[in-house]
Amino acid sequence: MKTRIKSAVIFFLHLSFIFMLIFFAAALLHQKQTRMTLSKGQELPLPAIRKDFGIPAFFNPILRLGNFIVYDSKDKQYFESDFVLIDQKKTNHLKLAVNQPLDIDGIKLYQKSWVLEFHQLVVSFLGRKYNMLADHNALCDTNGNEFQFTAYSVVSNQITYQWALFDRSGKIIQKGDLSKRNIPILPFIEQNKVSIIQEEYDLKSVIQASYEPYHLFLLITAVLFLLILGYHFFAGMEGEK
Amino acid sequence: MTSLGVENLFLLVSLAIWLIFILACFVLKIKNDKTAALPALIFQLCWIVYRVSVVHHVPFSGMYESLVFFSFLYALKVGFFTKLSIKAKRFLYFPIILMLLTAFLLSPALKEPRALSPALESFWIYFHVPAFFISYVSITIGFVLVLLNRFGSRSMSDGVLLEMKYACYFTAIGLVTGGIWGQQSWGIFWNWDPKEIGALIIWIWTIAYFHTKSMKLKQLFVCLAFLSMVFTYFVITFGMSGLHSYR
Repeated sequence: MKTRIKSAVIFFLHLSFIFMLIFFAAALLHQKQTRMTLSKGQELPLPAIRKDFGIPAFFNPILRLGNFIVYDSKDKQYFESDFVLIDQKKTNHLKLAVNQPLDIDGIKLYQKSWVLEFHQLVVSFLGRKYNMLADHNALCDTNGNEFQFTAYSVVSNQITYQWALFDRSGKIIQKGDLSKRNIPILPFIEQNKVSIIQEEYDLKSVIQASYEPYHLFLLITAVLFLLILGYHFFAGMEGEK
Repeated sequence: MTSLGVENLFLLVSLAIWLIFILACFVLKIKNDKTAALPALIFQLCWIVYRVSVVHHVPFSGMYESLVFFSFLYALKVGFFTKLSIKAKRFLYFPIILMLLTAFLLSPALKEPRALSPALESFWIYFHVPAFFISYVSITIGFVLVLLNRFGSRSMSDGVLLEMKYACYFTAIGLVTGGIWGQQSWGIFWNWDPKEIGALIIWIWTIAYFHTKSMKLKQLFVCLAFLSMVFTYFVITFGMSGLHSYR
């Protein structure tokens, strides 16, 4: 009797493994994905995605990116999209974040990452205006010390830049943080003032839309396999053939 | 004292206790290793609790944290959950020294507290990562037992069998939970990432162990599982870039 049970467990263990492999392959081969970048206020083209994936549309709601928050600093990192789902009858607010995907009528949406797109960045340095997008690394004081700065962290969509003053040999004389609200005082610079006078940028949400027809079957067979394997190993059965 | 200083102090004290304890196991005839191992384990636990209070997240997000966590799990299992004689166990305690020493010698840049990346901020981190570390612990114990079997006089095959069961089962749990988590955070359950492939290879060796009757082949598969584990844990983390490169 015990041998029969053991044989049955081994049979079902291998059967569930074979099914798991089949659904693993099916899920990988049949998964369809597309990636898009959305700005605040932009609509997600659901009908086009459905057409691209070759799946019928039961209803076509409007999904608009209402807000996108980025927090990317040393202490904290997150980014999430707030979508407005406009159906024929009602309007809903949906949050999309990493590890919190959305399911809109069979289409899964994932928050992948974010991009920073500058439109304008003008800095005042020693009384002169510099367009940082055009005159990159061209800021020098009268002693020939070079002033550089780069986007460093984003806290609640506000960028903080890291600035540094280099001497002619490339050695850092002084460094610090700079944002539009924070004006650093550099005593050895003639006019003592560096500031951001124009700053326009867009933080865009990178989203992945997926169609996953076999994922549920893969999950069921994988869990089943784990249960049988656990029973086989630890419920009084021998682990060897 | 800085937070890194406090952590180093905990590490050094536990390292010193383990060294004295292992030496005592060989020189003196210690009968109760649990009592002797407990102080070192307490200092390792202190390191874990202190690190969590500093970084405000799980103590296994990078190589430095995971090494100490791994050594703690390993010491706990060898000291309290392995039914072996003290003569065999004293050899099993050696990897703890290596792990703690490696963690201590890592560069300060790798020890700096960092915020968890958004992908790691998930419920699955509590299952996926510990599952792999439980499996790594069993593979390491299995490997040391195989060496004892090979170069010693006593048969350790029962102990190896049990450890390989744990290794196989927990690697499978790690792979499945990793797939579920990967699907949730990256939108794909399998990326063919070096670390994923490494974990799969470890699992294949543990499965192969149960599908052979030859004792020599079994020992070979345990050794291969251990080498794959070392490669996956250290070489891939430092030598290859991928989705799992959390240093």
